Amino acid sequence: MSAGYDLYAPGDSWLHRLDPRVKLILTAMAALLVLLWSSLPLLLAALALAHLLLALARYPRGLAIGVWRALAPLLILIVTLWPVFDRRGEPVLLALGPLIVTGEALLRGLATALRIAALSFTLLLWLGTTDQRSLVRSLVRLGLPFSLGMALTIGLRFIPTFAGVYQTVSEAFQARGLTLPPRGLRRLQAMLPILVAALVTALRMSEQLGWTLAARGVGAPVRRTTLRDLAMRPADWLALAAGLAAGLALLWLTLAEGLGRALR
Amino acid sequence: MAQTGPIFRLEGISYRYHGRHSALDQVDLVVEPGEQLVILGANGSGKSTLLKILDGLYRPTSGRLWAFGEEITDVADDPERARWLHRRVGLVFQDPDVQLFSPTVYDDVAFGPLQLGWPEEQVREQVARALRAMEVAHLADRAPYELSGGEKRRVAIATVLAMDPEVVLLDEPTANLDPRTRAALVHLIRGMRDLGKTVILTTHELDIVPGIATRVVVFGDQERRPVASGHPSEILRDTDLLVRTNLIHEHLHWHGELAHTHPHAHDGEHLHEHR
Repeated sequence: MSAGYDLYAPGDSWLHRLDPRVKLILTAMAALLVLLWSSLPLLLAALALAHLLLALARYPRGLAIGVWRALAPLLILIVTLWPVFDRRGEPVLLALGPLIVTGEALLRGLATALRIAALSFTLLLWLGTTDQRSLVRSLVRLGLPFSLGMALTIGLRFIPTFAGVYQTVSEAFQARGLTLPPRGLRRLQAMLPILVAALVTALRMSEQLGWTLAARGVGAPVRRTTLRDLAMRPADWLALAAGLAAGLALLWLTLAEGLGRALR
Repeated sequence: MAQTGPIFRLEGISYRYHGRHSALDQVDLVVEPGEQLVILGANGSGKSTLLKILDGLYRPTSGRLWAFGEEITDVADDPERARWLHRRVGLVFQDPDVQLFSPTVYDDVAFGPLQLGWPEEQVREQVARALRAMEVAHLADRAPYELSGGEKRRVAIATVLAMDPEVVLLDEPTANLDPRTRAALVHLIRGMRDLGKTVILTTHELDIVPGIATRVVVFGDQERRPVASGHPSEILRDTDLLVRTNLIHEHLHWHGELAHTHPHAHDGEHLHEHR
């Protein structure tokens, strides 16, 4: 695990071993279906399936709970505010002056929250079982230029470093008497000088990083050698074929037959 | 082919940051192949700036500079020649965090050789050799940010060694390390001699000098140029020089009514002299 800065949990499950390109394609297919569906039972089923697959991959329960914790405020906000702004449908459950809450709007809010949760856990199936190197390599093999893939890897790698820089600068400011209010606009205002100082440090680091990259051959007019390239195994082809067949069938049912379009 | 002439020759090199603040002033210096040269200087004496000029990252404000017999004064403005220089001269920065950017130590050490398009077998051999030389093979699968300060320094040096440069420039490699880690690193740096590398290292820590240097050049923090050059033992014995260049300072304390002063360095070396 990477100190809580990313979602990847190392393992040797079938999902970990699955070719990252297959995972990416199937994740995209599942995400498309979840985005098209409004049906509460189907969204619940997708969410349950994602959790079942995570459990089968022995994904740490603590990390999955962490994702739920991170999502909770957003989901609660959606379920609470959606019926306030969406007045369509019946039955009217509450009418207080301009405030009208209908049962249908309440269910639509619930469906939206479920959709976001299902999407998040679908993505977690991919990000939680694919290490950075394979993740970027799969994107490069699917057509992303290497320089962009490298930029993505470096960006991911430096998240903990910049978090550390922010932490150090923040502690230095607090040691000199800066008090950070617990929340709200005043906290944001108090954080501004910390962010500026951390940004200056980050810029200085990025200058040296640029020199390092140049010194390590980036931009050399030769074809880069690749170690440990990705290779599709029969099991990967099988999973891709089965997953795509199921996904395309569901997509056809959704678009042609209206599967999952109704709320209930 | 073995290098016959000097590796570096500097004539009247000066550098000013933003055209104003002088970092180096009229530096003349020759570095011979196979030397383990330690550049001693207090903070602000221009040591790090000199290394960046030697690696072609900064263009000197004035003066002329040769590497491997070719003039490289303007190399910072010429990407193709800069690549040629970087291939032969590797720089290890003071902050290892900025040099380690891959998901694992192995990937980081392999990055340079892969980028140069070397055959796969050669890359694997070179990476294994560099990891072994810096005694970090057991860290190959770890993420760089999970390592301790000393481990990061060793991995950062390995990333440069893997590209098999003829010259390794090390900018204060032992700064902020505990004594045991520092001693281990000094031992590993000394081992680069066996790999046939020319090493140029900057520091203000006197205690690491005897373990590494075949020659010492002292930079004055006021002059911002070399003020002395010689064998390590000769330089370290010259207390007046070390005091004048701010590498040690006079420390005064009292034993009853007896005033006691002695030269004092803060990084281990503690030279006593009763007066």
